[in-house]
Amino acid sequence: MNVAVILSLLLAFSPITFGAEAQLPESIYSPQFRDPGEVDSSVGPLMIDKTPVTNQEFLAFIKASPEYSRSKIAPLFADSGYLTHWAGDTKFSKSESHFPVTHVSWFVARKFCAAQGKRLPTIAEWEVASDAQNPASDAKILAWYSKPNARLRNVGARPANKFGVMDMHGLVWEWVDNFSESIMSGDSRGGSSTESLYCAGAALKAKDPKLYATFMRFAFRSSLTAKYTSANLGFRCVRDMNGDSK
Amino acid sequence: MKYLFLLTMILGHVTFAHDKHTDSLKAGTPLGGTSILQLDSSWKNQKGESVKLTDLRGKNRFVVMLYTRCDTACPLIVEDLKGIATEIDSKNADKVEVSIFSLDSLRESPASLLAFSKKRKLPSQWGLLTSDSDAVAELAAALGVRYKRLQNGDFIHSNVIYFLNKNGEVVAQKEGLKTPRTEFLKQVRKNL
Repeated sequence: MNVAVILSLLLAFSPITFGAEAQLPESIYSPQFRDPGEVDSSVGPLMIDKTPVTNQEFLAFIKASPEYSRSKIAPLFADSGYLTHWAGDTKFSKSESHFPVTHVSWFVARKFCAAQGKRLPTIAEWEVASDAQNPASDAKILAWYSKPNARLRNVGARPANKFGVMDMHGLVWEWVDNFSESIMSGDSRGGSSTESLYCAGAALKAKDPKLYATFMRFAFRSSLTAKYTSANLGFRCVRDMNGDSK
Repeated sequence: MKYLFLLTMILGHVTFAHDKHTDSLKAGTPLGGTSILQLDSSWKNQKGESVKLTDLRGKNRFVVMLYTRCDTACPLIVEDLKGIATEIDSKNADKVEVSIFSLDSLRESPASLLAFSKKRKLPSQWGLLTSDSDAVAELAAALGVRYKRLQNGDFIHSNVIYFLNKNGEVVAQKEGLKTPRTEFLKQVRKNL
């Protein structure tokens, strides 16, 4: 057994992984689906959580901010599925402590990150950190997308990607701060209420139409609303290097 | 006390200040449920006055989100809103206020809001409001407005007129620029 294997085993089973951050160097984001006039942008450098936020981490937040507990949260901020996998306001199965927290809304995910002095990643940041927009990883990601409701497991159990980030694919989908920028209906497009970007725009303007997984993420985000929760949607946070979370 | 309440309501109709007529209601039950006023963010209006979302409690309200540098869809939605406001029976006109929230946290200012209000000949009692990107993001998310800033500073955004009841809950919405008003107005009148 060589050192690398031992190290990755240690990482996989060590609680040190939880809450740890990786550095995302300054990178170029080249969006697959573009609006007219949309160009490449620069993201980072920033610190990104190595793993998605876990039930245990989320519990600490709920204890500090009970207004976001299941029984107290206002329907404006989360739908009725909010934290339904927990047994109560502060209870969940111990075996799921290091599972990614799911059934959380955008509003609360945002509050969680803010409470850590962090924020949700943008689409651009998430896409770059996930190293997803290349054909080599696309097929693998797509295979995971095609498995409905795959079972959850501990975060950090699989090898990190080239940035040292884990579980960007294969565990849960993740919230991004600006999900609402994924617009596929025509109603916001200057009056042509029948025009659908879904058919007429995005598909034609895709740089590489073979990147189906990327397209699926785009479509998924365009279907989200801020109070939506689901069994396979979690999140992680990022932090700007200068300490400013804006 | 009851008369004071009524008097306050009446005064609220004739003065523009968002924060005067609602005092007596604010003391009541806490906001909850789906009221967007729970966001409690702070905004500046076209007169440079600070307005908190909770100050908007107590009146029915039309709400739109747009940006004033917009020269395509935004004038249309404002004209639509003007039309809708005039179609509300004259005896009901003072039961509904109008709040226009800017999506453009970077470039909007009370001055640009005021200029837009004049250019579009908006009734002076309509409130135009601007705030930071967090407040904009949360309000848009709560309403369901989708928007995206483009490189040139323009925005792609949903064109929706929302009708809020006195507690700030969305009870009707009109989507799109050239859609008929009939059903929307029916819902509005039902809530007056």
